Amino acid sequence: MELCIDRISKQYKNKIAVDRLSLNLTSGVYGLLGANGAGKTTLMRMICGISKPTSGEVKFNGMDVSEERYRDALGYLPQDFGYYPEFSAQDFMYYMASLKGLTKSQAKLKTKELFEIVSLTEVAKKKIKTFSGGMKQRLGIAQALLNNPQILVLDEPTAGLDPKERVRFRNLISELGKDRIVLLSTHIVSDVENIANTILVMKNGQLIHKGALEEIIMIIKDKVFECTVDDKTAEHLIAAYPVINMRSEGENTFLRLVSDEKPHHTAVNVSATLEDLYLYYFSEVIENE
Amino acid sequence: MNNLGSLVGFEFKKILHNKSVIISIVIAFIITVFSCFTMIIGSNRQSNYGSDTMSNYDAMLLDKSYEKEFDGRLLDGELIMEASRAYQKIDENAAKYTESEGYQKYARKYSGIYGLIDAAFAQPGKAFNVNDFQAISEETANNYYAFRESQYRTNLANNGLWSSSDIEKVMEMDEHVQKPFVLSYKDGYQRFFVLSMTTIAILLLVISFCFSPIFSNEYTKKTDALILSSKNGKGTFIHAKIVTSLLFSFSLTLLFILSAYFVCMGIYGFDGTFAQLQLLIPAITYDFTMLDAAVLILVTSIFAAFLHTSICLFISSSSKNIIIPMAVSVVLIAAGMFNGIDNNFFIKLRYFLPSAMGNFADITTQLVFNVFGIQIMLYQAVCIVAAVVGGLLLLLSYRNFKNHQVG
Repeated sequence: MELCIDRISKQYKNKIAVDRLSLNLTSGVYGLLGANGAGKTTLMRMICGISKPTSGEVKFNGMDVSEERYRDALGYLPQDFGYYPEFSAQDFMYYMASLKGLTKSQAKLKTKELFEIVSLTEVAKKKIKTFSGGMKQRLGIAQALLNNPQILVLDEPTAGLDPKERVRFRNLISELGKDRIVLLSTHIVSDVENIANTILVMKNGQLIHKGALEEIIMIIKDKVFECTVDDKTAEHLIAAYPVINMRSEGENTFLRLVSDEKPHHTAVNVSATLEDLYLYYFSEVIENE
Repeated sequence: MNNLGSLVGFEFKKILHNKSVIISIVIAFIITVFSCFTMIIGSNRQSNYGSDTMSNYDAMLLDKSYEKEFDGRLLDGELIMEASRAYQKIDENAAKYTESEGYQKYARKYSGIYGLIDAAFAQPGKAFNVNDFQAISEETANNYYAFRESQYRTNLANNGLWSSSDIEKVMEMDEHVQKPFVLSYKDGYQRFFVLSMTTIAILLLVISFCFSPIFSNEYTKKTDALILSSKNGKGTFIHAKIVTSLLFSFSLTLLFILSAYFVCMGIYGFDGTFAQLQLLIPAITYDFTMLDAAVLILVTSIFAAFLHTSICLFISSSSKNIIIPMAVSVVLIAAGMFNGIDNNFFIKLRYFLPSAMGNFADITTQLVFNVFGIQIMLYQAVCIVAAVVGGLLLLLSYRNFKNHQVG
C-alpha cells in the first residue's frame, strides 16, 4: 500500500499554494501541521482528486487520482463539509453510501455500525439541521469511513468535538491507521502528538519537516528555555527571541522561548514539545493573523 | 453496483425537500388552471343583449349552442351565402353592430363563418369587413377556396422568410387538406391553443426555478467536495442529476400541458377533437386535426422543456451563483415571447427558443428549412435542434461538474 505524491504543485493566480511537494505514504497515521495558508487543505484536496494539480501527480498503488478505483479506496472529511439540512443523518449516510458504490444492504449495515462508533444511533432519524457542530462533525467522520477506505484524509477532523469525543476519535484513528493510510490535518497539536506515527510540517506550500515525533522535536532540542524575569527584561527578550508562551506572574513575567543559546542567566533549558516546534515555526504567521 | 436508481431517488428528495420549489409549482399550477377559466368569468359589453346582461359563461354556452348547429356542415358557397344573408339583417345604423338586435338575433350564430372566411377575401390595405360580407356575391362565395389559396400564397411571397420552393412545399400540403371544410364546435381546443403561450411560459419559469440551482447548490453548500471525492461522484452521480432533472421536467410538462388541456376540455367540451385545424387557422395547409395539433403542442413543449432544462443545467454547472442561471433562463423565456425584431435571422432564431416552441401560434407557422436538400417544417426543425443542442448542453454540464475544482 503506497500513496505516491510526486512533485505536486498548485498555483493560483499570484500564489503558489503547494510547491513541488513529494511524499510517499504507507500505512500509518500522518499528522499534517501548518499554519493557515500553509497549503494543507490544498494538498489534501489534490490527494482527494477534487483540485487538479498545476503539475505533478498523485497515485495510489499505481492508480491515478482521477480514476474511479482510486476514489473507491478513498475516505475524505473536508474541512467545513457541506450537508443537506433536510436529510436525516441516516438518509445522509445512505446517500453517501450510494455515492460510494455500496449496495443498500451494505449501506444499512455500515451505517448502523458507524453510528454506534460515533454515538449517533439515538439521533439517526433526526434531521441534520437540528444537529450541533460536534454531532455534524461526527457524522462527517462516519461518512468518511463508509467504504472502509484504504486512504483516509481528514481535514480538521476534531474541530467542534468536545475533549471526551476527541479522545474517542483519536483512539479510533490510531486503530484505523494500523492497516491504512490516514492523513489528518489539525491545529490541535496534541491530537497529532498523540496519534500520528509521522508528522509532516508544511510552510509556504512546502514540506519542511517529516518524521516521527522524536525526530521532529530534535530540531529544537536544547533550544527551549523558560525563565521568569522583570517586565523590562521581558520586553527585551520578546523582541529578540521567538516566544512560545508568556504569562504575567506578579511584577515579573514568565517566558517560554526558543533560542540557540541561553537567552538569560536565569533561563532554564527544558524539554521541547511539538507545540513548541509548531509555535516556533509559525509564530510569524500567527502574529500576522 | 450501479447506484443510479438510488441516487436518482435522493436527487428527487433534494428537489422535493425544497419548500420554495413546491410552493412555486403549486402557485404556477393554480395560475395555469385559473387562466383556463378567465374567458368565462364575469361579463362584458359584447355579452349585452338588449337590457339583459349576459355573463361570459352564458355567452359561451349560447355560442356553443349556435356553433353546434353547424356541426358536420360543409363550409361551401351555399353556407357562406346563408351567413351573408343573415348578416344583411344587421341594422345599418347600429353604433356597434355586435350589440344590435339584428346581429344577436340572426347573425351571431354565423359569426364563426365570417371569422373563417374574412382573411381570404381581404385586399392589400383593406380588410374584409361586415359590409363586404353582406355584399359578397355568390360567385365569390363559391370560389372561397381558390381565394384562400391565392391569398396565402401571396402572403408567403410578400414575406421574406419563404423562398419560392418553400412556398411550393407549403402549398403542396394543401392538396391533402379536406375541402370544403367540415364545421365543428372547437372552442375548447381554441382556448387551449390560445393559452399555450401562457402555459409554456409558466412551465419554463417553474423549470428555471427548480433546476437553476441543481449543480450550483452543490457548490455553494460545499457538498461538492464530498461528492467529487466519492467513487460515483464523477460519473453515476452526474447521470443521476441529469436523469432526475429530465424526468422531473418531463413530469412537470405533462402536468401543466395536460392540466391546461383537460381543464379547457372540461369547460368547453371535447367537441372538435377530430375537426380540421383549418377551422382555427383557415389558411394553414397542415392536414392536422385539433387533436393532432394538441399532441404537437405537447410534443414540442416536451422538447422545449428538455432544451430549457439543459440550458439551466449547463449554466448551473458553470456557475457557483444561483442567480445567474435563473436570470439567464428568464431572459430566454422573455426573448422567445418577444416578436418585435425586424430581421429575418432573429425572427427565425426566436422560433427555436423554448418559449416559442410551446406556443401554438409560433409552432404552427409554416416555415420551411432546407437541411442537406431535405425540406423540413418548423415544428420538425425545432424538435431536432432542441434534441441536438439540449444533448450537447447536457454533455457540457456533465463535463463541467466532473472537472469542477473545489476551492
